Amino acid sequence: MNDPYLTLGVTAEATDADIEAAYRAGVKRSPPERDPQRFEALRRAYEALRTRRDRLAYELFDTSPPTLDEALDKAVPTSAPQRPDAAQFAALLRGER
Amino acid sequence: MSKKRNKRSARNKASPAALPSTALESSAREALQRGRYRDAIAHFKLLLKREPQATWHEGLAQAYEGRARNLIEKGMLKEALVMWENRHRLGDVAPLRRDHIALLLRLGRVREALELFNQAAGTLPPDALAALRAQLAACYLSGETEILERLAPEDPVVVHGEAAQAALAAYCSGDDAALEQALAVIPFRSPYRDGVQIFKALQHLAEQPDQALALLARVPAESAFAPLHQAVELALAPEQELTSRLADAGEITRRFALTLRGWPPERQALFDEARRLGDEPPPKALLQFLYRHRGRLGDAWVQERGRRLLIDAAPQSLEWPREAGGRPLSKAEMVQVGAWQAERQRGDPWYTLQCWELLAQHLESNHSPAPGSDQALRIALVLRRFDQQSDLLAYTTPSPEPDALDRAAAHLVERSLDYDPDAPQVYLRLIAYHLRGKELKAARRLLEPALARWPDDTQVLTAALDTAVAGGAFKKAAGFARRILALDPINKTARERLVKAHLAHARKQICNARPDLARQELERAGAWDQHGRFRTRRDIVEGLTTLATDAQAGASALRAANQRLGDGFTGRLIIGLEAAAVGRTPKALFADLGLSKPRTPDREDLMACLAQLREHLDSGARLPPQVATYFETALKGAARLEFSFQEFESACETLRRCHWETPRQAFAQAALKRWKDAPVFAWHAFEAKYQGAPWQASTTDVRRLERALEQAREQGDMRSVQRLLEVLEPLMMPFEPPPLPPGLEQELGPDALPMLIDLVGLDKLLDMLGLSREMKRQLKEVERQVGRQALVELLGAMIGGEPDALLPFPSPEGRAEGRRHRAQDDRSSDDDAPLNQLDLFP
Repeated sequence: MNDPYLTLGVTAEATDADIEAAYRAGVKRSPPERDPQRFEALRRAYEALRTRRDRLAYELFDTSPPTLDEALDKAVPTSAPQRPDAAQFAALLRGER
Repeated sequence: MSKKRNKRSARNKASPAALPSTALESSAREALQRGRYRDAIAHFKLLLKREPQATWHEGLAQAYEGRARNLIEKGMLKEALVMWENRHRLGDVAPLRRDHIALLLRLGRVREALELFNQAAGTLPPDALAALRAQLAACYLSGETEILERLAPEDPVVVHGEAAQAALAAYCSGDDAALEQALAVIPFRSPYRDGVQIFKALQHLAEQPDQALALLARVPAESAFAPLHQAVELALAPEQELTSRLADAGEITRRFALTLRGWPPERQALFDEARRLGDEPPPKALLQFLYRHRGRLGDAWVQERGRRLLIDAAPQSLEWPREAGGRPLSKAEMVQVGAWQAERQRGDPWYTLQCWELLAQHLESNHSPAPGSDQALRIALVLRRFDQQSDLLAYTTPSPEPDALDRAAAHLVERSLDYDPDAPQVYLRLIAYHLRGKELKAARRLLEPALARWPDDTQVLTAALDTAVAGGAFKKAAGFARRILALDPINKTARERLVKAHLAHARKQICNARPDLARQELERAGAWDQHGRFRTRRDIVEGLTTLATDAQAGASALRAANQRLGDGFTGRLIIGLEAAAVGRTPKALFADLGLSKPRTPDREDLMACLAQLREHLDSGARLPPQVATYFETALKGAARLEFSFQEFESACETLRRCHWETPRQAFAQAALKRWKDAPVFAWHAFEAKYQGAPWQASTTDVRRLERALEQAREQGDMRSVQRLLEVLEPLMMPFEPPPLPPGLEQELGPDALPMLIDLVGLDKLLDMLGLSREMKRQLKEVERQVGRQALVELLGAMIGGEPDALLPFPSPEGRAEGRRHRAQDDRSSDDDAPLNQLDLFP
């Protein structure tokens, strides 16, 4: 499973309340009818971290290796979508790829 | 060889220059037709040197065009342009083509393209003109402003150019209102039409990605705006596809799409670096990548997550973090990696258990955890891990051996309660485990603190009721039942457990020849059985009680019960089971009652019988052998009836649970007649036939099993695959000893050799002794010439009279010793020494 802390956007020190709040906010942003995959990822992350016991069990027993995507998310998280500049448009309109 | 032949054929071929014009022309036309444009060009050129014929000019023009297109396909754009230019120089025989102008635009030679476009505007077909205008429009938006100066003012590229440029500027600056305004000016038939769809898609990208995709779908693949279209589409790619699609995209497309997705440039750069590691980077390379960027990722995260990359290659990989520039792993971390590896490899369960125990010891020794602290909870979770994963205590009956695996697991789980007592399910699990083994003292030891902590928990109270019933403390049990019913008035479980307990006690009193006490128990059972669910059972037990004092009345009551049960197979089975429970054989009882042997059940009766058997087994009871013997023939006959696949399977599974192998085999064989080689039935038939001695199987049966395995794999029936493998794998292992019949293990030694030869066969025994082929041949020769006795003596001498010398059969003492050693709680031993941690990795 992907790092549930990254999926929910919480730190390792997050409390039960922080985690629930992050989950609810995530579901509000990605409700199941709009983005079922994201919702499923949020749900799984929430299940993995819901209680202190769950968080410690994740720390002790989860053996899924980190992925490059996780590393990217951790190192430089994505920001709000940006608009490419005119030069980027020009290159593509010239047929460059 | 083929090169030589080619050279020879080339030498034999006449040079084109030597051919007469008619032959050369037909050769040129053939080359043109076959797409050999280079030959066609050369031949037409030769022809034109001889005589300038208009048809040859046309042929040459066609050849140039074909060659140009071929070169474009290969990406040789400049070479293709030379072909177009050569063609153009042929004059009127080669009218301008759209692709020639399009190529000039692609190559950025806008001025030349515009000149040709203006020349050809009157001659090109409308669709070619529209496509060129779209390309000019895209080119204009890319910054080629001279396009507007060199085109006619009424050209749509010029007319809508300003609005399109305004739309682009508005989008880039984030002015959505201006963008809307500019797009509204551009009509549907404009050369900027595809661009307009893309701008509209960009507006919906974040909030309505589906609508954005729908708008993008309106842009044709061959559009002049296709590169822009692809980049926007990539920005909308689902998360799980993104990495692979980014890998296929070009640099400019990727940057454009990632900017739209909100990837900062640093992230894009990091992605480029990560991509160089490959689609599935090896763990070591990935770990090095993580450590290289630990400044951004955070040391703690890299160490924690990076440890998961060490599992498969441990113990060598334990050095990787240090090699990558990180700190060396602590002892506890090494042990943790070892435990993960053990769990992943699913090897020796003792080894896995030992790993988790060792980790718990490290966690215990590093800190002295305060109750309720994270560290205390960690230790508790680690101590429970083995049982949690294997689910051992959920179904195992406590082994009589104190050093058995379940005992060791139960010991760890019970220890975990010292660190985390706030775990009712753990108490319940342990109580149930001990109750299965009638270990009342242990169950009570756990029940007391559980009851003190959760006095109103119905599950804990039910466990207390079960413990009381198991100890025969029915008053106490009734007290717990009342407490449960006070908390949960519709709780059926408590009542049923009490009824069953009183019935069990009544049976016991019948066995003790105390019908008076049995009646008391039956009265109590009746008081709790408010809905009469156990009425029939109570009647039968009452009949059996009466039978002890008044044979006639008892027999009459039991005959009446039999009639109420339908006088069928199931009814007889229920009475037979009750009779067996009070120490009477069904045969004798039914003879006393004057009832004939049961008939073969019909379909409905059989289903009811199977349900009864399951209920009987669920209560923890077994099928008494005298019952099995009495009903076996009639039950076997039912295998001839028509059943569905599921019904046959259900019958086989139930009979397997009863260890009732003869009818199970009959049902499995009957099913195999209908569903040939069906894996599930092949397995049931084999297991029922050989009953734990698969090495006795005939080659035909083993082959049938192998066919079933293949079929199970094809059908994706993983349960059957697993079951068949469990049977087949030991048969495949050349040196695997067969399990010995109970008691025989003690007799291993030269004296046991004749028995072993009979049991496994001489060949297999010699294999198990690990003898060379030559030695085996010689020993067989001895047997042939001198006899079996001489062979046995020779083998006895070879193994020196030492039972342990028969290596594949380790003595039970040795095996137990090994386990004892492994199960030892040797916290204070040197096993904790750092170097000894590596012993975790065999």
